[in-house]
Amino acid sequence: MRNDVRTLREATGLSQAALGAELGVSRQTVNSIENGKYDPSLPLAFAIARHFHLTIEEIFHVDD
Amino acid sequence: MSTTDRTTLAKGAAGLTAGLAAAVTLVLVLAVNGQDSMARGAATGAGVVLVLFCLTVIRALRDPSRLTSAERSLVGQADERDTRLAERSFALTGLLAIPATSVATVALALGAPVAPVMAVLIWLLVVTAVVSGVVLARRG
Repeated sequence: MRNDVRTLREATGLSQAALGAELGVSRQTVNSIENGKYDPSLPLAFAIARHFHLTIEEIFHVDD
Repeated sequence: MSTTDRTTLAKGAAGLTAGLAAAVTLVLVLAVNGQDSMARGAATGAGVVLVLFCLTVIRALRDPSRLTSAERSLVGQADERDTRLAERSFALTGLLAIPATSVATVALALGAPVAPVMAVLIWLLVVTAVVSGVVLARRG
C-alpha cells in the first residue's frame, strides 16, 4: 500500500519522532509506514488521517 | 521528570521486583531440592537478564527514540508495530519448536545424551527468536 504520509509530514514541518509522539507510536513505526514497509492498523490510519485533516482514502492508496 | 519517564520508571521497578522474586524463588526451590548446579545456572541466567533489563530501562529514560522494537516491548512502551513484530517472531519460533522438539525426542529415545540435546534445542529456539525478531524489524 502506498501513502502520502512523508509528503504530508514534511509539508507540516514535523520530524518523524514528533509525528510519532503525536500519534502515540515510535519514530521507527512512522518511518516504516512512510516507506511502505508497514501498513498501519485501522485505528492508527484514522489517527493519521485526523491529524492531517484528511480522509484515509486521501492518504493511503492501494497498489494496483 | 515527564509522565512517560515516571511510567517507564514504575514499570521498570515493577519488572525488576517481579523478576527478582521469580529468580530467587526458582533458585531456592532448586537449591532446596539438591539441584545445586541448576540453581547456579538459574542464578547466573536470571542475573544476566535482570542486568540487561535494567540497562534497557536506563536507555529508555535517557533517549526513548533510540530504543529497538524488542527494547520497547521489554520496558512496556511497545506500539502496534512492535507488538505485531513480537507476535510474528514468537509465531516463527513456535512453528520451529514443533519439529525441533520432535527431533530432540527421537534423539533422546535413541539414546542420545540428555544435556547436549536439551542445550541445542534451547539455543536453537533462542537464536530463532532473536534472529527472526531482527530480520522482521528490518523488513517491516
